[in-house]
Amino acid sequence: MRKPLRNKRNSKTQYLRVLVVAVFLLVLGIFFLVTTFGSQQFGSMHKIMMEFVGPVQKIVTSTGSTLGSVKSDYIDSIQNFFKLNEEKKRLTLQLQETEAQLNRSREAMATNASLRKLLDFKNASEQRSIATTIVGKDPSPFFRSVIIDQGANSGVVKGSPVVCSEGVVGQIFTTSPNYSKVLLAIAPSSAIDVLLQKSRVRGILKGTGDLTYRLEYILKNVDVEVGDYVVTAGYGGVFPTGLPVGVVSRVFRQPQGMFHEIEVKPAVDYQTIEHLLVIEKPNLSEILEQPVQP
Amino acid sequence: MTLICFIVVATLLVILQTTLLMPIPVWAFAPDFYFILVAYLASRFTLLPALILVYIIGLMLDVLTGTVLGMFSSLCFTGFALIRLFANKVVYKNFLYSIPLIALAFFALSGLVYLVFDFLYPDHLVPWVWWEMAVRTALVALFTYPLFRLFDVIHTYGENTVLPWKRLRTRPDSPRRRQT
Repeated sequence: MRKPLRNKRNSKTQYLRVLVVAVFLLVLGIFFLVTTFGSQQFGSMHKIMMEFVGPVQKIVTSTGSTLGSVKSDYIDSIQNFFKLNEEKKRLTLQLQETEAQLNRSREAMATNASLRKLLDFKNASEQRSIATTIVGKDPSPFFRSVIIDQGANSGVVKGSPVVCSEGVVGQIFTTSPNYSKVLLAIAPSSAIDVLLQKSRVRGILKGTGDLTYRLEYILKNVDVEVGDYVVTAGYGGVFPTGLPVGVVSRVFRQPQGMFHEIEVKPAVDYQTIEHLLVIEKPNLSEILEQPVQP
Repeated sequence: MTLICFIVVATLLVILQTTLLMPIPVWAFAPDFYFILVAYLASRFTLLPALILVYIIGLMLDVLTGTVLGMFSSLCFTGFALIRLFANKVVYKNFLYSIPLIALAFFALSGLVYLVFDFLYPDHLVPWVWWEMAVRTALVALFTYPLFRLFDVIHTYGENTVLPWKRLRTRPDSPRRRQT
């Protein structure tokens, strides 16, 4: 019987405590409201509250910033790592594309410059010519020839001279309908009639297989100097007259023999040749059709 | 099918050699892949298909290079004959011996063919340069093993592909034969 009675008392006491606390808080609230709205001054209550809340705020803020820095240092870094990896891939791809585009542009510019020089040369020349490009080179150590992408269908015939903007390159050796083989002037089997431009002395220019020519049959009484220009003689009608061939680079003055031994440096840079012109040989019928000058 | 595969391979090798591997007309370091293929044909192929391929390789090289026709065909056929002689020897089957043998055959035959053609066509050939030929021989030796492996793969592919020649042959016990 005693136990329910004690429980009843306890619940009453608890109820009273809650009521007292509630009344206290209500009074405090009303007081706070009255002081706040009434005087509009930052009173002692406010200061106490601020002093109470301030440290909590400080702790929460510092904890938040610590957590934020931890998040940014670690969690965000992991997220960023994946993002950055994707970004890196994208940028690398973009860079590669840009570089490829740049290379294409450079290549186009170089081709343009080369073709422009060739066009100037073609326009300056009186003879008709066929523009062509080298498509293959002779891999043998015993020969010097190249394959070009123009053949008999374009009017290329055996023996046609082949030139580039710098000068003489060689002669057509064989043709097929769409391709031709060019015997380079540096080949030992090549022989071109040439003139020393200054002295107008005629000689035969032969290839050495290397990047030089050998000028033969120049008599010893002829004055030849390093730096003299060598041009095509035009005899025989294969090459037009006056095409640049090279420059005398060395003169070997031997005590014996009738002729000079002369080394000529090619006007053409064989290491960079790419676009060429095949000079068309005039047909006999075309020559005959030309009006006779009185 | 193997024959077609190797015709394609030979064409590609010759084209590669005359284009990408020859940056300038006087480039000394062009590897002579065709001779390695000839050596492979001499070692691993039956006579008739091998001869057809050697003929095609020689023809292509004669067309694309040089001014004296027949020089590369001679080199290919003599190379084929010489390596074929060694091919059945036990020593040759070891790469340790076959690689120097192929390189040596290339060097010796190049010299021999050069001598003959220089005699027949004086002033047509570029003078023989020892160091250049030594470099080319070294390149042949260097590329022999990887190219032989590649050719082995192609050979296997050619034999096991969809349309091997063996399947076209009529078997002795086939119903078609029995009817006739």
